[in-house]
Amino acid sequence: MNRKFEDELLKLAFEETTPEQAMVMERAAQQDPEAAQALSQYRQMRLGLRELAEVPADQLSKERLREAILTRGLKPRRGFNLGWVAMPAMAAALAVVFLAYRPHPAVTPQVVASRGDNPFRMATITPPSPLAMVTPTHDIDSNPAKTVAPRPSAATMVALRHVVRHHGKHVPEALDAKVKDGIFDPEFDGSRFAMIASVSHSENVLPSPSVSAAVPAPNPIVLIDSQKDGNTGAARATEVDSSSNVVVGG
Amino acid sequence: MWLSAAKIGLAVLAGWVQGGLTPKETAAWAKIAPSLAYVSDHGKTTAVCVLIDDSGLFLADKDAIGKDTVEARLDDHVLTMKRVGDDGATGLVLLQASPWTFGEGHAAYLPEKPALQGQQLFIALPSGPIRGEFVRSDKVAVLLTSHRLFPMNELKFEAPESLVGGGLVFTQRGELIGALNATLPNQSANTQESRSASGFGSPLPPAALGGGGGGGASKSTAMVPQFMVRQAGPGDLTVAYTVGLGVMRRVVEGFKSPSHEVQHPSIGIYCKDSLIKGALVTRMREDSTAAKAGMQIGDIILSIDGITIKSQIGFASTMLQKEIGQTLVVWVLRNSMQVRLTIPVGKA
Repeated sequence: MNRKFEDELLKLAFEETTPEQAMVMERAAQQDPEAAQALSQYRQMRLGLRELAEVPADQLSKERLREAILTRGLKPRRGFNLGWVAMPAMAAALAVVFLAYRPHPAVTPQVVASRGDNPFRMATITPPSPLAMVTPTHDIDSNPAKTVAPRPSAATMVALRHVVRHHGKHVPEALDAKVKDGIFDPEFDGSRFAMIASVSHSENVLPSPSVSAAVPAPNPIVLIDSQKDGNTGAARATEVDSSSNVVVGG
Repeated sequence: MWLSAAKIGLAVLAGWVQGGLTPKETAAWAKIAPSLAYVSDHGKTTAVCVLIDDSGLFLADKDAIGKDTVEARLDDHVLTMKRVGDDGATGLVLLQASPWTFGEGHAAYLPEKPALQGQQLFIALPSGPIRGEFVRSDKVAVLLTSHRLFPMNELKFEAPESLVGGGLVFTQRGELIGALNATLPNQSANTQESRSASGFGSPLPPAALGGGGGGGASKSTAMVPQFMVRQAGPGDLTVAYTVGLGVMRRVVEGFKSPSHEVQHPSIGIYCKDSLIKGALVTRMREDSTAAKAGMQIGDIILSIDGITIKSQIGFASTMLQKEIGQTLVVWVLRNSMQVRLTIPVGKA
């Protein structure tokens, strides 16, 4: 998905396209899973931003906006910009983190079970990435009580830039500054972002796909066939990591 | 006293050397044996079933039983077993024994808590018991015959020469874990290591079952029939699965109810993974609660009761936690719009 297409998707999500363009884009997005996901995220973003407009437009004032920002815990813009100092330091830190935690290349996935007649029965066990060990991981499906507020993705950054460009007056000043810097510094933590995206687990609030952006912990799933294993006389089981095409009832 | 202790010690040692049951295992098996009836067909033992209620209700694996009416032997009594219940989702069936005298057998019971990793088990087979070991209880499996997802127990044992399908799994305290639903293809690569680690190298010869193990010989061990004789020898290590404790409890309670019907929670839909997050509804029963609530094929389930659904596995896992009669708040994505549905949980 290129930048131009991404911009088109943003326009579509924020309803800035003609109906004809929208139809074409919708069709294109449906054929590309990545685009469909990005479009869904942009739409969520729009919904979240709408909820920011809790102060009526005619009552907007600089003081009220500042107070709202402080209430949300966002710090106002700094007096001067130290981005040119922070950038190289951050790049160096990222390089160190990457080198320290990159996956070991010598380890190869181990095939534990396979069936030639169905590609979805191919199972591999891949050692967990060291990154996954340092990243807070949990599967929301298996442990729904806990949630993780994710850091904004690159696509989100693009979306926020777009929002700043086109809807700047609705975006708090500090948030604007963070977006313009192009980097979310540690002060701008995920929980605040989750709040802005109106993420909630209340049953009456729209669910946001961004909630499920937590890194899933892979746990092999067992498929039990009606076919018998000739050696044991029991149904044949196969462990799979991916069950995307398996139909499950409930 | 010292002489008695020495005798017991020698008996235990003899049991291990012969690869037989220890006195402790003999005593443990004595708790299980009175619960078991052996199904025979033309004089050949084909399956084993377990008494779950004093009224003569036996539980067994559907495939192992085969027919609707079979003949079985409990101790020295010959019984006629008639199928009175069937749970298609798990493949377990309920048999009513006749003639039956109340209290004739010893009804097995389920454990309060899941077994622990490394816990020693017995697997009752038509050819006799074998040792097993509990591995874990956090696996999930999709039974492709019923398209139902269930939590599973994983266990391992040394493969005997006879078939193990439909075998019944017990703890050494005599608690019923379940029936062997499935096995993974043999993984002989790790057999030696696993065997030496878990002591699987020792099979259970009939001599030990009949009292060769020493002090545990009693009426219960005498009940072990002679057809349990099998050749001893190392075999491949087999990984097998039984349905989880919660599902097993639901099955047993359903079978013991007056209707003998097992009810699994369901809203009557079938899903597969969506390209984006969520579970894509691909099929739906016309009379299902989901259909009545307005769900449509092609909807993508995003959340249930505030829990984000990432895939069809997430959907089925969430449904497992629900109870029949409960009302669910379900958000679905339909034509790029999010729709809220209220769906009562029905039964499968």
